[in-house]
Amino acid sequence: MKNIILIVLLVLMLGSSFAFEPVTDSIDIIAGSTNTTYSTTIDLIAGVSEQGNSDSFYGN
Amino acid sequence: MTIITITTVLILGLVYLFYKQIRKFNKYIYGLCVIIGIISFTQETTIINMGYVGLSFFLVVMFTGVIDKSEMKKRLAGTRAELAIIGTIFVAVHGLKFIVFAIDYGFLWTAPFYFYLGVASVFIVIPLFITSFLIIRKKMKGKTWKNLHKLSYLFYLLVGLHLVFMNNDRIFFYIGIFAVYLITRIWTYFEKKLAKKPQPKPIQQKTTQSA
Repeated sequence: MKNIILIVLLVLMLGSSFAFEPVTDSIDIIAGSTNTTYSTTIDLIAGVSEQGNSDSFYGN
Repeated sequence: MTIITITTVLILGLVYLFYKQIRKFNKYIYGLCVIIGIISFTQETTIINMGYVGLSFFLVVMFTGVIDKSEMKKRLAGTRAELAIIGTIFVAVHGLKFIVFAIDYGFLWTAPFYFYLGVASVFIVIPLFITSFLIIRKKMKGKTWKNLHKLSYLFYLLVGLHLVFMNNDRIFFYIGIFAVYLITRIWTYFEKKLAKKPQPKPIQQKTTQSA
């Protein structure tokens, strides 16, 4: 009974993840580039990029 | 969410198909994971550095304890130590990456609360990692090992809080996963307790024999 519930939940999770997160964003993060779906706080702290735009160079 | 779910499904599939090989060649697999972890550490953003792969391994380890008896449970339980060790390797890469990042950018002591939850969980997992190796486990008493590994619940709690306090787009996903784990854990606990309860002996009727 429990196993069936867990399998159903896993399938639902997989389905909802494909529905809510663009597959291209997932492929991007595997390739190493963050995006709006997988944006990291670290990016913001480091000043690398914000809201998908690159900050100007040298901390402007 | 997609990365975590797909990685979890992949791990389940690989364990189901190759559980014997995972146990047989575990040392080589650990070595390979350490190499992959080191390479990942030198990169900026990878799914290992971000903690997704480590989390996937630990989701499998967590839920192994709550699923019902089945062929899948047998294979998962047989490789649980290996999965936990591999998960720890990848979690350590994630933790170290962010600790080094925090030191480099000077926010080690002013980081968000979830950062310290993550650091605490990395420290908690160290004794669990060490005692997951059979060579160490054999030197411990069974009861001591079992009591020590109750710390894994604290580890899961810290990881869950770490993820929830990040308050990102996947917060409800994380709350859902850990809520399901908590419910199934409690369910399993009561199932085992009821199973252990001694069954009342059937009353034997005395028959009188005629002379």
